Amino acid sequence: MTNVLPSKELVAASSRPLVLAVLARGEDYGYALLREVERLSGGALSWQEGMLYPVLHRLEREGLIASTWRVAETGRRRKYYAITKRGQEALAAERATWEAVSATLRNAWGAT
Amino acid sequence: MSFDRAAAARHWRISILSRGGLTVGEVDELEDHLEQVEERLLEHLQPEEAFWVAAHRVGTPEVLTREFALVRPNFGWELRAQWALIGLLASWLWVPLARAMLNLLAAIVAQIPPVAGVAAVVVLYGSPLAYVLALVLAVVVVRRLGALPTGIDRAVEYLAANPRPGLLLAAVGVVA
Repeated sequence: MTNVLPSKELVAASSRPLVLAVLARGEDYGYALLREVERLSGGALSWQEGMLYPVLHRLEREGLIASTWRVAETGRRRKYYAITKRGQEALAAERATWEAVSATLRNAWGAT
Repeated sequence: MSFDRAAAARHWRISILSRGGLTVGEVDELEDHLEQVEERLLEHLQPEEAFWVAAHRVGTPEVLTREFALVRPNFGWELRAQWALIGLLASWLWVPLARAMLNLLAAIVAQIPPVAGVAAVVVLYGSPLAYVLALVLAVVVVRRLGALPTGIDRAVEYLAANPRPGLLLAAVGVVA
């Protein structure tokens, strides 16, 4: 795994499809979601802990995810997020875009 | 000197909330996150160090406020508008509500023969003493229900997070 960290802009842009993709596999809460992104990226992509929440807030406002408060096993209230139908559609669109970018880059690199 | 974690956590919450960019529920969620980060750090660090490192990782109040403001630039105004509407509603509803409570009080008093006359007095001289009485009654009811201050806090937060019911409530107030 490379040590080059992606730019701030790239991290911000990729946070949207990443959150949607993780939630598409099942509902989750903030902390676990962040650890899962870290694991998926092999440590190459690390978000600042608190920065995830504005992203979740924006996605919820757009109706792509929905949240519910539940009581965790520790007795503490915890907020869980789940993807909505609209979120799944948005994820499919995001996926198409990112795959197109990725394919273009691969072609460009392969051609040189 | 031992580390007072509860006090440190309280201070941390207040320093975020006082900036006005986040709701109580959002800070609750961040605090839950903070505790989990802290728990992991406790394997290597002393409690006080773990708390401050975790707080730093979750984000300083300035950074958190700024990042939240980026996704909802109008939040401050929305919150102020909600407060203004609630204030307006309260000022409109206060007199009819007080009168209704007063009548109820009078009806109850009228059932007790020795003080039945008081009911008439209460209704006749309905202000301002009677309104004060109604206000005291309202405060007692609210206290009994445990609605102060966190209940109201959460109600406001809910309205801020869900503008539609808030606007609906305001519309009902205007029609009334």
